Amino acid sequence: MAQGFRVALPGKSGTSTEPRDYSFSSEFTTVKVYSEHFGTIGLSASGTAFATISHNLGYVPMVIPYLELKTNRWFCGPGFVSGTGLSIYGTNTDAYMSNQESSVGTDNFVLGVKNQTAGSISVRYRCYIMGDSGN
Amino acid sequence: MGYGLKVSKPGIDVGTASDIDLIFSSDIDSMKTKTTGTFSGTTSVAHGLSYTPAFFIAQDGFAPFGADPIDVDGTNLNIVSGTTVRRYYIFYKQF
Amino acid sequence: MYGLKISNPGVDVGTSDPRTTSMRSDFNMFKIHSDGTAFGTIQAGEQAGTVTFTHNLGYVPAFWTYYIGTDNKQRLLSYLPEGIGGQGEISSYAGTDTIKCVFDFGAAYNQNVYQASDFYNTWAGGSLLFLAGDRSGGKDGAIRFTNLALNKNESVLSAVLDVHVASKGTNTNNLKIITRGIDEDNTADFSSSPMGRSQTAASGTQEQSMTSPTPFNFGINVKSQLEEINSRSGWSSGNAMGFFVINNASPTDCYFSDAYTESPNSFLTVTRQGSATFGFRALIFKDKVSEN
Repeated sequence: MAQGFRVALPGKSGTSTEPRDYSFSSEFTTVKVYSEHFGTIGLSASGTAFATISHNLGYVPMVIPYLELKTNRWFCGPGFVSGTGLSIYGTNTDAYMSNQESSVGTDNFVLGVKNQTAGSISVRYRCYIMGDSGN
Repeated sequence: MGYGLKVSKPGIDVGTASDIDLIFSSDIDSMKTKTTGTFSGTTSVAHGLSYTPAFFIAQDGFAPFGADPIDVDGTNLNIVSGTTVRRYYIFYKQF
Repeated sequence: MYGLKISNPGVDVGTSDPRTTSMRSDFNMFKIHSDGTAFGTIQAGEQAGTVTFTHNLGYVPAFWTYYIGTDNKQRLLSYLPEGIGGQGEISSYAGTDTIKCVFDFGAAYNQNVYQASDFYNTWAGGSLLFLAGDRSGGKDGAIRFTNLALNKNESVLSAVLDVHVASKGTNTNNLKIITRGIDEDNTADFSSSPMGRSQTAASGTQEQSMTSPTPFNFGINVKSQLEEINSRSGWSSGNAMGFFVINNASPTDCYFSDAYTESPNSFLTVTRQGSATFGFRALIFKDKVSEN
């Protein structure tokens, strides 16, 4: 490292050449959270609803959504895969994130959620809009 | 924390901040990116690490679902993809 | 704005583009709390297994999980191709103290359920009913299953003949039966009476309560009979197998009957030996997901 800034993890040497020994180094980019958003989506029985989250980055960022698809169970993105074809929903959750109806653009993230139950429900979510490219 | 460096989130007193309220702390590891790039089609990306690293894939923003296999082993990030362009991140993070 | 900003190598720190910024004090970074690898086992007959990663943060954290395939390759859990897990689902979710990763086959592992292909009974002398007990005197039945996925000399975990009782006699005292296998390599269909075919030495004697209202099911353990048949020199996987259910002094008008036209009717459940191992890796961040 010619010039820069780095911080070793506890117990590690600041002269180590092993990247894993550093909590941070200006030699490497670090996945950064540009913004984070918490919300709740209300869904009618078997319905689909959307949340639009603006980021205005001017490029498509990496987005990492977490959704409470069943009470006290938070999934990352869709969070699961079903082996019976290209279905994107689980049989054990009340709702799922619809990859096909969610999208990330250069200015916002549209989160589409589908209700799998016969009653109305609310789904909490937290979305991390990262500062890093998503395409 | 004896000696070290930490940076709190805006508006948070760094002297009393919990880990959640820190941007960064020298006590805590972060997701350091070794390499990032885009791909489509079938390919393998040699990550050049002596271990199997954590990785992330983004397609038009978020981690995609699909029938194309993407996995990592001790040598490569292995990708079978169609024409859809996806971005990968390989981290300096060994499990 | 006051703060700390570090740009990527070769990039002017004055740039405002987050993509070329290494660190900025107004951008949070995912901070790693813990990580780990865990494996679980699904035994034959079980459908799903769960491994748990404990974080004890007291709130729901951000996390990434990876499924470890039998080829030891890691796959990001929100991106798994169809077929890697077989049928069923692979999922992971977080709570305030743990991350749980679930491997669900969607059906019992290493278990095959065979629908009956043929019935026979000595009451009507025909192939429409599977019947045994006392109906105008002692009557016996036979049942056949085809295309058994069972290797020669294979020892199974269990084999159960699941009898569907569509109708029964008026006497609700216990049915008394003996069950034997049809001792043949690949027993033929029941277009003609199978009742004269050889019987296995292995047998099971059973008394069965008949107090439940119809329809109901009861099970007959046929493991020893099945293993005597698949140890025959002429047995091979894909062959057909049959069983006799023989009246054993049941009370008058005490019998079960299953009609071939019923759906579902009687079937054979075979659970083979073996287990499946699955693995997950979890990366748990300190960053909070839940609001509280």
